[in-house]
Amino acid sequence: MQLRSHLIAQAANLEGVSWGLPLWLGWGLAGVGLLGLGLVIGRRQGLAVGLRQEPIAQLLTQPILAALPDLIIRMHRDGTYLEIKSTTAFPIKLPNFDLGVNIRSFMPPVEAEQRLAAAAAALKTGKIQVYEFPLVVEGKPLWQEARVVPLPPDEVLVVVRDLTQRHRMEAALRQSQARLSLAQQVAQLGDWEFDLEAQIMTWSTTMFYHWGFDPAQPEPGLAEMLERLHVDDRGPWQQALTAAIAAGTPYALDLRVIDPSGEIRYLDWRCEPLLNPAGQPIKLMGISLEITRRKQTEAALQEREAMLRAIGDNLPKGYIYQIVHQPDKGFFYTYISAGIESLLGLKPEAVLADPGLIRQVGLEADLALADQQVQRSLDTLCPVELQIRNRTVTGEIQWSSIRSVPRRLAGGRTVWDGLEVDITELKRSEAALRSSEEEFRLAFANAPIGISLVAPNGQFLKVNQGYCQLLGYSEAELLSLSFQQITHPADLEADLAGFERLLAGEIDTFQLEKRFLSRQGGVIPVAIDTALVRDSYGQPLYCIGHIQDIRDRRKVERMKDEFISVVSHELRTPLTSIRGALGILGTGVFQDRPAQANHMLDIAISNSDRLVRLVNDILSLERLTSGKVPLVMETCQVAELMEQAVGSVQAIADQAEVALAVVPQAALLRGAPDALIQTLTNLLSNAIKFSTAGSTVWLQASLLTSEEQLSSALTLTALPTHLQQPPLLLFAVTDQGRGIPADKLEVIFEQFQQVDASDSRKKGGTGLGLTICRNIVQQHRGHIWVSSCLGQGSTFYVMLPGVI
Amino acid sequence: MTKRLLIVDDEDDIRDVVQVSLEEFAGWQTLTAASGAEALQLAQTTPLDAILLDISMPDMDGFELCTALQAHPQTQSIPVIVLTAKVLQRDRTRFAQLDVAGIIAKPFNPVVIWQQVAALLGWPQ
Repeated sequence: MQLRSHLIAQAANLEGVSWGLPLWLGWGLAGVGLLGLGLVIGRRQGLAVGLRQEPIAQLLTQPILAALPDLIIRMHRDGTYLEIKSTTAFPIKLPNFDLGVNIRSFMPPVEAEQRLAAAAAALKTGKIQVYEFPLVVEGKPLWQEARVVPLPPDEVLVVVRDLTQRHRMEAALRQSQARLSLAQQVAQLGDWEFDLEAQIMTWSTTMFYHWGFDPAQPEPGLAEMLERLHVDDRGPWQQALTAAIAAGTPYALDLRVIDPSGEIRYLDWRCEPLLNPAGQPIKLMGISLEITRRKQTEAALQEREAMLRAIGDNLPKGYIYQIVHQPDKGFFYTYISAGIESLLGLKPEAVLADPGLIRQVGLEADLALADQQVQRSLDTLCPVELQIRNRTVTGEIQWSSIRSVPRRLAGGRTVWDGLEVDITELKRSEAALRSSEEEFRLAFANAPIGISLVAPNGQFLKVNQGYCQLLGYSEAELLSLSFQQITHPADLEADLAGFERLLAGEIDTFQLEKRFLSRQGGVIPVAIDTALVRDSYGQPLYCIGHIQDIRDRRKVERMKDEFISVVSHELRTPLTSIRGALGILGTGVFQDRPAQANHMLDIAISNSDRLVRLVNDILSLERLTSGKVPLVMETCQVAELMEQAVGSVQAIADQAEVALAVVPQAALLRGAPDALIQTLTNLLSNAIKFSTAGSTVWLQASLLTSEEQLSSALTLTALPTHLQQPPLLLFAVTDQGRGIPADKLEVIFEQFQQVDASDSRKKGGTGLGLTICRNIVQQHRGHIWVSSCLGQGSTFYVMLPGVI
Repeated sequence: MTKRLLIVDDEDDIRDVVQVSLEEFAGWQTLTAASGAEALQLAQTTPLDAILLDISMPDMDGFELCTALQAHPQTQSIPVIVLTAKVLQRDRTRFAQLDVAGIIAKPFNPVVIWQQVAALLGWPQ
C-alpha cells in the first residue's frame, strides 16, 4: 500500500539522521531491526580494515552491543562458534557451549546445514541473510530470527532475536483486525482515511461495497465518488468536505449513493479531521455506515403513519384513537383522528383537552356498561369490545362499535389503541334482517299454501303446517320422506326431469301440476313451483317449493267447462231449430204446402223466444254473479212486490188454467224491488208450469216478528245464524204439481240442473231461473229452499232480513 | 232402393226439421224417436240403413244408446251418425271413444245435411 511505502521511506530518511537508542524505541518493531542492522553494518564497514588486527572478542564486548537484547554469535563459516554474547533479556537459556564447538556436533543436521548455508550465502554475496526458525523450549513454541552478517573472509556474525512476543502480538493483531473486519462487515461499517498532504484515499473493503466499486481496484478519486452521489447530496457533501479540509470541521451527513445497478444506498457518513499540533488538518478519517434498511424502514414507517393518519381521518363515520391510563393521572387521550367530529360532533383537539366531553354524548345505560368493560380491560388486559348508543347533535340515537386493545407500559401506564365506528345502518339492517327472518318464519309457518325445503336428493328438510295438512302427514313423518316417495307414480318422471334440470342449472325455476299421494292414500292434485337455492360456490343447497292445492281450482275449471259446454249446448239447441226451419222455408219447398210452412215458422218463432229467454237469463245471472252491477236497495212495499209478480204471470196462469191465490203482507222491506219481483215471478212461473189445469198456486208472505214464529219456520230448514233473529219476512210459493225428488231438492238451484232435462223444452224454462233466484236472495242476505212431496206439490221459501 | 233412417232427438222441433230435410231433399224414409229407449226398440224391430243420434237426452243419452246398439247383434251393424250441439273439445274427446260413422254439429244446414250423411256413409249422392 502507498501509505505503508511512505512510512518505510520515512524510516529510511531517518536512518542517517540519528543513531540514538531512544529513537529506535520511538519507531516500531520493524524499525528496530533495520536500525540494528544499520548499526552493525556501519560498524562493520568502519571496522573492516582493523578486524584482522583486533582480537575478535573485543567486537562483542563493546558496551553498545551489551545493551542489545539479542544473542550474538561470531561463527566460522564451517560452523565453529568463535565468540558468543548472550543477555539476560534473551528468553532462551543457552547450553553451556565451549568456544570452538561446531554446530554440527549439537544441532540436527537439517538445522546445522541451514545455518551453514546462510553463512556461506552471506560471505558469498556480502549481504545479510535473514531467516526465522521455531524453537520449542520447555514445551512452549518460541520464534527466533537470525540475521547472518558476513565478516569476510570466513566468519559471520549471527544475531539471534527472540520474536516470540512479536509473533504473539502480530497474531493477536490479526485476530483483532479480523474481528474488527467481521464486525464492520456485519455492521456494514466501513472506514476511510484521506491524507490531505498526499491526497491519498484509503478505504476498508466495506467502503467499496458501500459505493458500488470493485474492492480489487484502487480507491476511487473524489470525482468518481461525486458521480456516484445523488445529485441532491453532492452540494452538501462538497461544502462539508471543503470545511473539513480548510478548517478541520468534522461533519456527519446522510448520503445517497446510486450504485451501478441504479439502486439507492443510504450511508451515514461521518468525518473527523486529524489535526497537527498547529491545529491544521493533515488527514480526514471517518466511517461509513450503511443505513439503507433503516432509511427504508423510516420511510415505510412515515408512510405507514401517514396512511394510518389518513385512514383515521377519513374513516367513514368513525375514528381511531389512543387512550392512556396512568395511575396518577387517570384516563387521557393521546391521539384522536378527525373522524370523531363527523361521528360525534366533537372536535379532536377538544376531546384531547377534555376527555370527559365524550361521555356527554353517550347514553347513561351504555356508559355504565362501557365503564365496566374498560375497568376489566385495565385489570386483565382483555380487549374492549362494545356496542353503545350515542345521541347525535340532532337528537337521534346513533349506534357505535368500539374495539380497543390494551398494552401495559412502564410505570403502570396502560395504553389502548382503539377504533369507534358507526354501526347504525348495520343495526338497522340487523333489525330489518331479524324482522325479515321473523316475517319469513311466520310466512313459512302460516302460509296458506304448503312450503317445503328439499335437499338435492329429494329429502324433505323443512315443511310448513300447510304442507303437512294438505298431505295428511305430520312434520316428523314428512322429514323422513323424499318427495319421490309421495309423488304419484305417473307424475314422477316429469317431476324428476324438472328437478334434474333445476339442479343442472338449465332452468332457474320450474312449475308443474302433479299429484301427491296423501298419508290416507288419497290423490291430491297440486301446482308446484320450485326454485333452487345455491351456496356461494354455486353448489345446490336446497330447493324451495310451494305447493298449492288445486282441487278447488280444478273443480271451478270443471264447472266452468261444464257451464260453457251446457250454455253452448243450450244455445245451439234452439238455434238448430231456428236455422233448420228457416233453411227449409227458404228453399220454398213448402211454398205450396202452407200448413207445413206454418209449422216450420212456428218452430222458428218459439225457438227464437226460447233463445231470447236463455240469453236474458244468462246475462241476468252474469250480472248477479260478477258483482259489476250491484243491486240497488231501497224500501219496498211487500204487498206491491207480490202484486207486480202475480200480475206478470197472470196471463200464463190463465192460459194454463191455474188459479193464483195471494196472501199479501203489509210490510216494508229493504231490498231491490225489481230483483225481488223477478224472484217471485220465476217461482210463480215455475209453479204454474208444473201445475195441472184446475189446480192452484199460492203466493204467501209472512212477517216473523217473534221467537215462536221463527221457531216454527226453523223446523223447515237450517237457517244461517244471521237469519235466526226476528223480524224476518218469509215468502212461500206453493203448487200442487208433480213434486221434486228428494235428491233434486238442492241441485235444482244449480245452473241447468232441471229435474227433467226436457223441462226446458216442454216448460219453456232455461234451467237458470232458480239459480238466478238464489243469487238474488243471497245478495239480500236471505235464504231460499224448497220442500216437496212427490205427487203432491212443492213449496219454495224465501226468507229475507231487512224488515223495516 | 230408398234409404231408411232413424232420427233420435228429445227436441221435437229438431226432430221435425231433420225429418223434413232428409225426406224433402234426399228423398229418404225417416223414422223418429224422442228417447233412447224408443230408438232402441225401433232399431231392433225395423230395418234401418243409418241412425242420426242426439247425445244429450234424458234417461238414456246418446252414449248409452250407442253402447246398447253395438251390444245387440241386430243393431250393431247399423251405422250411427252423431248429431249434436256438444261441440267443445272435451265433448269430441268422448265421441272419439264411440264407434260411429261420423259427427254432424248443430246447428246444421237443413238443405245439405243429407249430403253430409251420404258422404259419411259412402252413399252415392
